[in-house]
Formats: sequence, structure tokens, C-alpha cells
Amino acid sequence: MSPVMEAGLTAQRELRRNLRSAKGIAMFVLFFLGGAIPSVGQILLGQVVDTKTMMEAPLEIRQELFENLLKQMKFDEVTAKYLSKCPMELFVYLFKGALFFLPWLILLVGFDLIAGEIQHRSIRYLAGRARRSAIVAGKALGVWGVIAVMTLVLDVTVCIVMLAKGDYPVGLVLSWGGRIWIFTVAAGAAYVGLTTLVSSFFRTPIVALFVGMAVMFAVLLTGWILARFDSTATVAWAFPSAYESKLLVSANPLHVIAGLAGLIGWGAAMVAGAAAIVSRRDI
Amino acid sequence: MATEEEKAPPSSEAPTSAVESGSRSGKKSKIKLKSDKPPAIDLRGVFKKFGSFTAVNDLSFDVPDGSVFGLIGPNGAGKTTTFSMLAGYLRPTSGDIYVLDRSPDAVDALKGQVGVLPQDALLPANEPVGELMVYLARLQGMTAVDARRSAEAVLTEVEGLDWWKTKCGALSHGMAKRVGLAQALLGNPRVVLLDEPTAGLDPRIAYGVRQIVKSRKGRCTLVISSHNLQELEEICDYAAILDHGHLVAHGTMAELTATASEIRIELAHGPIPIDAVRVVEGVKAVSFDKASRELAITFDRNVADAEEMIKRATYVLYQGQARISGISKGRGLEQRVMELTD
Repeated sequence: MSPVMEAGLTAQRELRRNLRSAKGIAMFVLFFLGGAIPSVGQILLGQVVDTKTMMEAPLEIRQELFENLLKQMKFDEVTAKYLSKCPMELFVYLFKGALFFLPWLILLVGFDLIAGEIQHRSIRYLAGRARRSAIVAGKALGVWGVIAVMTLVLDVTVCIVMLAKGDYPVGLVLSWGGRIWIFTVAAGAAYVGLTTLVSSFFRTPIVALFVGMAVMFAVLLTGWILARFDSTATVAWAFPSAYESKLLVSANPLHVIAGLAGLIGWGAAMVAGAAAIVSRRDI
Repeated sequence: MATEEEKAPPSSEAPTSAVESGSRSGKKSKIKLKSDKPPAIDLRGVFKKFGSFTAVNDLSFDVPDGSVFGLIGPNGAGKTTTFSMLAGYLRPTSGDIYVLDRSPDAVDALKGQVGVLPQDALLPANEPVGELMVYLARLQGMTAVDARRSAEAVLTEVEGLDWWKTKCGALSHGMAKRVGLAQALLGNPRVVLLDEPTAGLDPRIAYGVRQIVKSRKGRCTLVISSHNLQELEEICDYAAILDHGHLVAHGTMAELTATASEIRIELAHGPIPIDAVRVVEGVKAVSFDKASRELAITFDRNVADAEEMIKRATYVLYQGQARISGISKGRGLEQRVMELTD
């Protein structure tokens, strides 16, 4: 049996287990609420601010306002123009909001991915049947799949609310909703990889969780700081945030593809590191 | 007590005479048991260190193909460490291990050929038994249909088919142990490694597990690590006795328990004609333990086998008016282990 088959079987199993476990259901609810809260917030905001009048303005005017806002957020002219086509709520709640919370949610879902198996030695039931590297890759793929499903739930929830409100054309909501979901899933690959790597170092899940939080914070902060300065911009490419903030939002489709590939590649490199560790360690 | 037939090695070869290993005293020797076939498992100068602690020290022995082999020793003897190295969970610090002529971590080459029951590995709590078994069988390379069929077969063998939809976390210790045993038997592997298969089980279930193991005799090579010496004496053809990480004895069960060269006769109160027994042809040594009132007769197995010696000795004893209350062959594994280990 090829390692790909082994990883595939393990990924399917991980998906089933996660979507059925108490933790998986809790995370699922959390993601659902993650979609519901901004939507409800939007409705509540409409009662405080006269958003109804604002939304009655022609789409072009609203996009122009959003474009100016994006320019103030340091996006260049071409990017701001391109992003202004995205419904503002989707950009703020799904793209920026989801990417902010995603690393932490992934850590909560996957901190015990390897450490838990090693602590309880459950991995021993698998180790004689499949390559350890394929087990690690399969488990990471499974968690990535879970994240993809969960973010899809979040995206669909927000998109349904937006379509129900009727502020934006259906095509625009679906097109940007789909794109943002793909971006989120790609970013998820990087953080799933990092979580898997951290988890592979430990045999106590709670230690993996706390160390993971520290590492995640360090990676996000360092990436963010390095991206602020021209002199360190090159080094910033070693961190996933650079791909999110520079390539995924680009108007150039090639840049977007490079961003997606970069994030998935980053995650794959982390998983490869985890696989190397688990393959060499005593279990 | 097991019968001679049960204890006889599967091969018709005469057992080797070398039993005790010199490795503990520094005189390293690789003991190879006679067999036509290459050994199923071969250890050569294996060391395993955890930091400065040496858990396994220069271990060399082989496990004959098709045998039931016991790994014996007190706590801390290195049984589980050795077992874990055979299963590929731990890597030896130095030395070589071959399972079916492959390194234990050659997963692809050994896929489906080695089944393992780890001692303290938890089954995944949230997973239904049937689903887990099918997944494990599929990892071994079976198709979905074959995996289900094989999972059902092994669960039936351990009387656990009813648990198909039960989550592993809801199983009792005994049930979980049997599911663990079932997964080790998936796909009829050529080598089955069982670490403490009956530990913590009630006698009835332990008996059932022993029957399952016995039913596999001759169909595969079984390596059983256990503290339960009576169980091992009953099941195993061969054994290795470990102590403080060293191999202290290795051989057929008959050799280890001296069933082919020693008989023990328990005498009730009355005459003890030791001198008459000493002159029986083939007798090498006779001793009498007053506390247990046990007469130990060591004999030359080339002159007489155990049954013949029992006939000769009991004849002489009856002639001397002795009252025999029990006869056994050999010392019993427990006594042998006590003699060899600290």
C-alpha cells in the first residue's frame, strides 16, 4: 500500500472522529457561532447606525467608500480597487476576522493530534500497519479537512444572512464568499502544519497546547512585525502572515495562486518536520 | 500441569542442550535454537539505553518460526522494552533485530505479517469497535470488503462481535483486552506479539484468551510477554528468561523446566529409600527436601526418558516401602525463574 493510501485512510478516519467527538462538536458550534455572531452584530448595528440609508446608496458609491477605507488601511491603489468589489462585511468578518481567530481555533482542534496518540500509546495500533510519516500526514490532512468544513459552515452562515438582507448581488456574495473560503482553507493549512509540528514534540497534550500557544503567538507577531518594515520584508516570507496580507489580497491571479501555494507549502513543510520527528522518536 | 505433548516443540528436532546464557557474566553467546526454517525473529547483541539506564543489555536470541515463545522475567527485567523493540515501537540503541528477516520498522515489507497486542496502549475512546477494526485492517492493505470480513472474523474469535457498534471507551478492561487481541490477529499475521495478554483479566476471560492463543499454535509464530509463569509454561514451546536487562536462560520449555532430565516425587511420611534410588541406572543425582518432602531425581536423558525414569524410580521406592503422594517432571517454570533471577 502506498503512503498516499495510508495517509488518505488516516485522514478519513480523523475527519470522522473529529466531527463526531465532543471536542469536534464543540468546535463546530464555535465556528457556527463565529458565523452567527457577526451576522447578528450586523443586524444590531443596523438599529444603532442608519445602515439602511447607507445600504440604499448605489453599489458603486458603497464600493468607492470601501476603496477609500482600504487605502487608509495601507493597501495600494490597485489592490484597494480590487478589494473594494468585495462586500465589506465579508472582508471584515470572514477574511480579516476568520484569519485572526483561525490559528487559535486550529490549535484547539489539533494540539493533541500527535501528543495525545503518543501519551495514550494509541499510535502503537497504527505504527505496525502504516508508515509513521503517513500517519502524521493523514492526521494533519484530517484536521485540515475538519477546518475546511468548519470554515465552510461559518462562510455559508454569513453569506446566507447577507443574501437574505439583499444588500449585495447574489453573484458578488457567492463569488467573494467562495474566494474567501479558499483563502481561509489555505491559511488553515499553514497553521495545521505548525500545530502538528508542535504536537509531535510532546507526549503530554496540555504541554503541547501551551507551547503551541506560545509558538503560534511568536510566529504571528514576528511575521506581522517583519512585514511592517521594508528592510525585513524578505524575511517576512518565512512566515504565513506575509502570504495572507500580500498575496491572497492581490488583484493579480498569479499572486493569489502563489499565496495559496505558499501557505499550503509552508504547512506541508511543517508536517514534513513533524513526520520526521515522529518517525525517529520512540513511541 | 501441561502434558509433555503440549510442551513439545513443534519441530521434531532434538532440543539443544545450551540453555543458560553466559551474557550476564560477560561471556556473550548467541544461542541459536535448532530448526530447519530460518527463525521468525532474530536478535543480535541488542542494547537499549534510556539516558544512563540500560534497560536491555546485550540481548541475543532467536525465535523459531511457528513456535510459541515466552518472554519471561520479573518487573524491570526488560521484557516490555524488548517486546517494544520487536514491535518497532522502540529503536535499539545498538544491535540488530530481524522480524521475518526484516527490520521491525520496515512497515511496508512487514505489512499484515506482524500483529501486535501492546500492553498499555489505549484504544481510541470515541471510535466504535467495528469501525476501528475495519480501519486497522484496511491499513494492512485489505479491501473494504475483506477488511470488514476479517474484522468480523477476529471479533467473533474473541467473542466480541456484539461490540461492533460499541465505542472503545465504553468497553470494560476485559473487553478492551479482547478487542486488542482481535486487532493483533487481523489478517492472520505470520508473527503475533502479545504483551501481557491476560493481565488484569478475570480467570474465565483469561482462560478464553489462552484458548485463543492455543488455537493459533502452529498457524503463526507467537511471542508472549507475561508475568504469569503457569500460563507461559502451559502455552509456550520456547522461552527466554530475562533479568535486569540480561538474557539469563533461553531454550525449549522442556529444557528450561528440565522436564527431560529431572523428576520430582513427593513422599508422604514413611521410609525414604534414597540410596536405593541413587543406584538406579541413569540416575545422576538425588536430593531430598525435608520441608516439602520432595525427592528430586536428576537423570541422564540419553539413558532413559522421563517416563522410563518415573517407572524405575517408583518401582525402587515402592520396594523400599515409600508412600508416594505426587510425581512431576522437571522443576516447574516458576521455580526455574526463581533460581535464575534476583
